[in-house]
Amino acid sequence: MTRRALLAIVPPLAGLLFALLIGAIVVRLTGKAPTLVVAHLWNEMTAVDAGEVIYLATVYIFTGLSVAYAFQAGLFNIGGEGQLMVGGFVMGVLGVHAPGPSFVAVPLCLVAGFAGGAAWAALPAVLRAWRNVHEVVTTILMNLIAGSAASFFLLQYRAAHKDVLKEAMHTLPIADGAQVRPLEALFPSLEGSHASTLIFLALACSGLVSWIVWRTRTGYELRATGANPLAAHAAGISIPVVMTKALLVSGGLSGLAAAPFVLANNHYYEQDMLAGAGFTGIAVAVLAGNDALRVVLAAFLMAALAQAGELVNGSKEDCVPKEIVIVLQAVVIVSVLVAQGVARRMVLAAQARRAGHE
Amino acid sequence: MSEVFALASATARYATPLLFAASGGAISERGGIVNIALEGLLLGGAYAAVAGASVTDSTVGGLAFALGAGAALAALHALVTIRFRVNQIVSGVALNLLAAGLTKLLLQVQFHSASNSTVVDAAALSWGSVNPLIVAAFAAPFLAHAILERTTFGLRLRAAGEHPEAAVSLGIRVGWVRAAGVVLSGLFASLGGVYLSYDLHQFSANMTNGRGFMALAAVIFGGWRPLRALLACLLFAGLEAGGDRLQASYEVFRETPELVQVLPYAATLLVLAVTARSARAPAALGK
Repeated sequence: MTRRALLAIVPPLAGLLFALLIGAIVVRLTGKAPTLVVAHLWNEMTAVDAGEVIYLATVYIFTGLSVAYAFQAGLFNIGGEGQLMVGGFVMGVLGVHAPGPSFVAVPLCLVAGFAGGAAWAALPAVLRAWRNVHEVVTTILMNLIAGSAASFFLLQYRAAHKDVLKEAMHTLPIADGAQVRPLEALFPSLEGSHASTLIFLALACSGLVSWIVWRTRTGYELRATGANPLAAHAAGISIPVVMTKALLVSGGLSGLAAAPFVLANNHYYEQDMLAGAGFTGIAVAVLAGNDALRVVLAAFLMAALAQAGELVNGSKEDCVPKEIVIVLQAVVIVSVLVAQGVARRMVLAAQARRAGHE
Repeated sequence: MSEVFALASATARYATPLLFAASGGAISERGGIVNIALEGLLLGGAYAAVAGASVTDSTVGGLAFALGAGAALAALHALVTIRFRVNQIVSGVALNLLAAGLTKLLLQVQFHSASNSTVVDAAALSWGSVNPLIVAAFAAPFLAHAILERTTFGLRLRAAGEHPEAAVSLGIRVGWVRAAGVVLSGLFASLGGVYLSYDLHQFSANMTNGRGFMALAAVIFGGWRPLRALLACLLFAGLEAGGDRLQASYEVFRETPELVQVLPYAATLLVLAVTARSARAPAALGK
């Protein structure tokens, strides 16, 4: 195996194992036996859970791609939470009126969701590109604003449609044409799960983003800006334009992450839907080394972790609160990066030694 | 007159966690280490204070727990960014995630609730009618200023933040000095957390609500100088207090509290947009 491939595989694996070890220690410290929790997990697993993993992975592929894409330009978009919320709201509200058969209505809704997410990233993008305000602070602030704004608009929306919605805390159901088919239509064994055919869209997006990053001029400018802004500027690349575009696309991808919930399963927008998916995207991107294709694998891993958390969630003897998944995500992020740094240094040291022998 | 006094005292209360966190943030960042983790440090401090007060059944015990938690989380940030050279912003975001997850997990293990702890009577701190933490919060920027500008440690820290190579050549152990700065920021920020949870005598999930990020914005707005950051904290806190007054006085805002909630965040964005360009960051910040 080449050294490059080793560097891509070993650190994430080591980081993941380390995170699981920390997880076991945390479980131990809460006074429970990790082996019992694992046994509980093993006994509870069914085919439906495989479907749930696909459902969650669909969401995480989008939020993971969102973080990874911006990272290529050296930008850290942690506003996925807010962008998903706004994208989902726009998708849900416009989806009610989406015209025509599904090959028209579904793409329209997807474009609406992308546009909503991108719009929510627009202010941080402009502030970063032209005023040099760091995107981490602004995107977080936009998340907080999105929380209040979404509940404000949802309340207004409910007041306007009181006769239909009654007490329900969500938007009207979207048009039939805008609804995406569940995956069980193709794979009957997944019946009862939330998995939908949107997983194919997510996979296609992963390929598309990879192609854009490595094979197009846009991607070249993106990577050049991320690698060395001064050199990119000297080469005639407009840094503000590249940064703005990167954050807009990143926001749009987070907006699309709302689709599995809004278009495929619940058919409406709901307050706090898919909460935490934006932050999970960060763990996915780090685990994938910001590579769009590896994002798929990382998203499935994080989805499996999240679903495992749901299965063992509880206060019984062999259960553990599902928030342990958030802790594990945080540990994964740090330990993968530490392992990467250590591995890179070891490779450099080995090269230096070999050079010394010659 | 009482109206003015009420507004001023509300401003002081809203400013308290911001002042602690911003003072800590300025110390860490002047040493060259970005501290996005302020939010997590506040949250960890808030939880540890209530947990400690509950376990030891004493106010001081809670305080000690919070300081310990703040120092430990900050030390982790220092270890990961300085020793292992992980991107400081990514590490900070991961720490925020860790604090959010860990506090929610422990909340269920210790207090059997997903949203808030029980009311802990020992979680209280007062001198008569004055909360000493508010007084300490207003002293914190001056203390941070004194540490940075009047001590040998401060001089070394600033050297590490401006030109680490030059600092090394003078015999300064840059890594350790920076780590000390980060741990100090953890101690400061955890006190802000203590105030938040002691004020309510309980912890509730995500109770910091972005205050760590507002404190960070105050540091940037203040040009990384603690005394100027103090003014920024007062501005943000004043807006929060003013929003409350609006809500109390006008029917429109009572019906739509969301509009008022957004006010401090929107103001923070605006302030950053106007000032960030002119602010001069420590030369080696983030490197």
